[in-house]
Amino acid sequence: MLRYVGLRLLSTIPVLAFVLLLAFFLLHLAPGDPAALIAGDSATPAQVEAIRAQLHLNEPLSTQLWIWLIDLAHFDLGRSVFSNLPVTQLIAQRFEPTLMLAISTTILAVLLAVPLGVIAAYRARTGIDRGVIVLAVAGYSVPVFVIGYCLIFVFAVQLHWLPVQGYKPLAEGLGGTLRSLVLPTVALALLYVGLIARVTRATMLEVLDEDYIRTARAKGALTLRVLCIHALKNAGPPIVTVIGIGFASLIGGVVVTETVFNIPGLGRLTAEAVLRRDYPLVQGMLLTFAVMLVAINLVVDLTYPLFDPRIRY
Amino acid sequence: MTAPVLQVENLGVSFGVEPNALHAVREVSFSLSAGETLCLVGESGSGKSVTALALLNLLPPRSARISASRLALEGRSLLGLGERELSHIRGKAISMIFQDPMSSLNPALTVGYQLAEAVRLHGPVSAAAARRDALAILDKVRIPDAARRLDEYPHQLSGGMRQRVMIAMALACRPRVLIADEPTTALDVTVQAQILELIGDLKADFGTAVLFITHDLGVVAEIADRVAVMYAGRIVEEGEVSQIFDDPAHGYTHGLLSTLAVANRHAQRLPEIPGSTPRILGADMGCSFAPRCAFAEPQCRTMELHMAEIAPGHVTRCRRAAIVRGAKSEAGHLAHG
Repeated sequence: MLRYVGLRLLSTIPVLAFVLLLAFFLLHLAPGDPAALIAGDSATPAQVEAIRAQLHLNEPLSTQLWIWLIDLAHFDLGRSVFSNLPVTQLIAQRFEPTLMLAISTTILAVLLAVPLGVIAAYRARTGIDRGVIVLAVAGYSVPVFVIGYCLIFVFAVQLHWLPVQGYKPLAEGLGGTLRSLVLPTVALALLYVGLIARVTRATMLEVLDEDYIRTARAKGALTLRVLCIHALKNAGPPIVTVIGIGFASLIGGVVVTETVFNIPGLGRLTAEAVLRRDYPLVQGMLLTFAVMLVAINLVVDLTYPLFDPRIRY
Repeated sequence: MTAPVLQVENLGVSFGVEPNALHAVREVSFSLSAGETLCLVGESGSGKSVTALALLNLLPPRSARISASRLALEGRSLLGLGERELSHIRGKAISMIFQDPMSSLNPALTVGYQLAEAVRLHGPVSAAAARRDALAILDKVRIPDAARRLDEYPHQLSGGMRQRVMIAMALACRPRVLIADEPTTALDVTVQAQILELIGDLKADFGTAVLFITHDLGVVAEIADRVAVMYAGRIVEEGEVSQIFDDPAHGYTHGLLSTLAVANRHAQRLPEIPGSTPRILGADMGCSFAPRCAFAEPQCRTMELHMAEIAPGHVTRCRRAAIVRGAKSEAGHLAHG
């Protein structure tokens, strides 16, 4: 197990190295003088020169890479050209809302989608099954901002049950955080319910056809027990995989949801950084997402033996 | 002979919707006494497994339609029972073991869990007591080092060991009837012999009636008390094992026996019954086997046929039974021809 984790971590080195290089050369791949680009149209030659010095652009490329890597090892990703704040600090600030939203969305989506998928598979090709599929496709197809504004209108503007927008940090109390997360979570979860329910249904359909399901029934197990213990456990790996993919994309980019609900998260930070050509910040985001993705994939892989003991690490 | 434990009369199973329904099992009747082994023999597609699954209503509910004029366990009718009531019968009064022990055991659950579950589903037993029971049953089916096996998963056991676990699971509640659906087909010959011996011993211990489904006539000769030969969804001949082997009274039984390799030791090429089992759509006239039968005459295909008793306990659906019985001495000759 530990050996497997070690090997998996080793195998991520090439991927991360590639992302590192990509992030580094991002600045140099952009057409024109990076310093002039960053400084903007109205900058004086002195300002451009200052930026050039700050980014070590006068050094040879190899020296620049070396300096960049050394800084990275010290968790120094440079400073944002726009706000002049350290990139690490900016990302850290925006990390909490995104992580909390991703967690709450994943929990809600799984709680809704897995039972729906199981029921659809058990009642395959009946009205119930078709109803679930229609629901899934609808949740999938309606844009998140439409659902978002509808939810805000009903539950915040009309009923005053929940805040319209914004995010309350955990430091100010869990209650406020949860209240601020309810509407964006529901809006986003509807999207992921469709995805997870469909995979659950497809996998369960396959598993329910297996001989050991017949054995369980022949032993006298009732439907609920057959579905939840004998079938669902075997259907685990594909479901967990799609949940992991969903979680990763929730961390990576929910710009629209963050904008609709005015949540200061990573999605909006990335969008802003790209629009402002804030290259150090874009570099930092790229690395953050790459590391998160690798970590999530590792966690997903490590859950497989919990469902299927034939997989051993 | 004691009163039958299991009585089946006019069992029919069809799949799909008329007029295109597939009649997999038709007019199947048999009874099973305590401690008796009835072998259900036939080719693939003859309806053996469907018959077995229909007894416990384990066929896919939306595609299979089961009908019977009587289906009773120790006098109590099983017809029309709901899932909940049936679940008290399944695994307790009537147990089943299946052909492929690898795919029939749940790969995600430990052997101990699956065994203990069989016990706990049918009585208020504590987890610890169920585990003790599971251990005792594993010992009973002669699994060495049983305590260690409890915490292992099916994939860690050999094929024979897995089938022993299946048998242990089926016998956990000391059922009145054990339905064994080709339990040795997936095993190699030496293991096959051990499993047959085990089933025989346990049957003697518990007084369980066994419905044993197989296409292997060698196995039949070894374990059967009575034999029912199935063809195209019907039982075409039934009798004591000696009656069937020594005095076959149906063209199909005769054909089956003449294909036995032992009987044809000197043959260049093993004999076969020409053709394959038909798919039965709708009602048909006459004998389903007639097109492949060495004894058939034109009337076989058109006349309505009924079970007829030709000796005590020996029934056949063949109208040419007398000819078939007379031909037994020529079996070898026929096979060569």
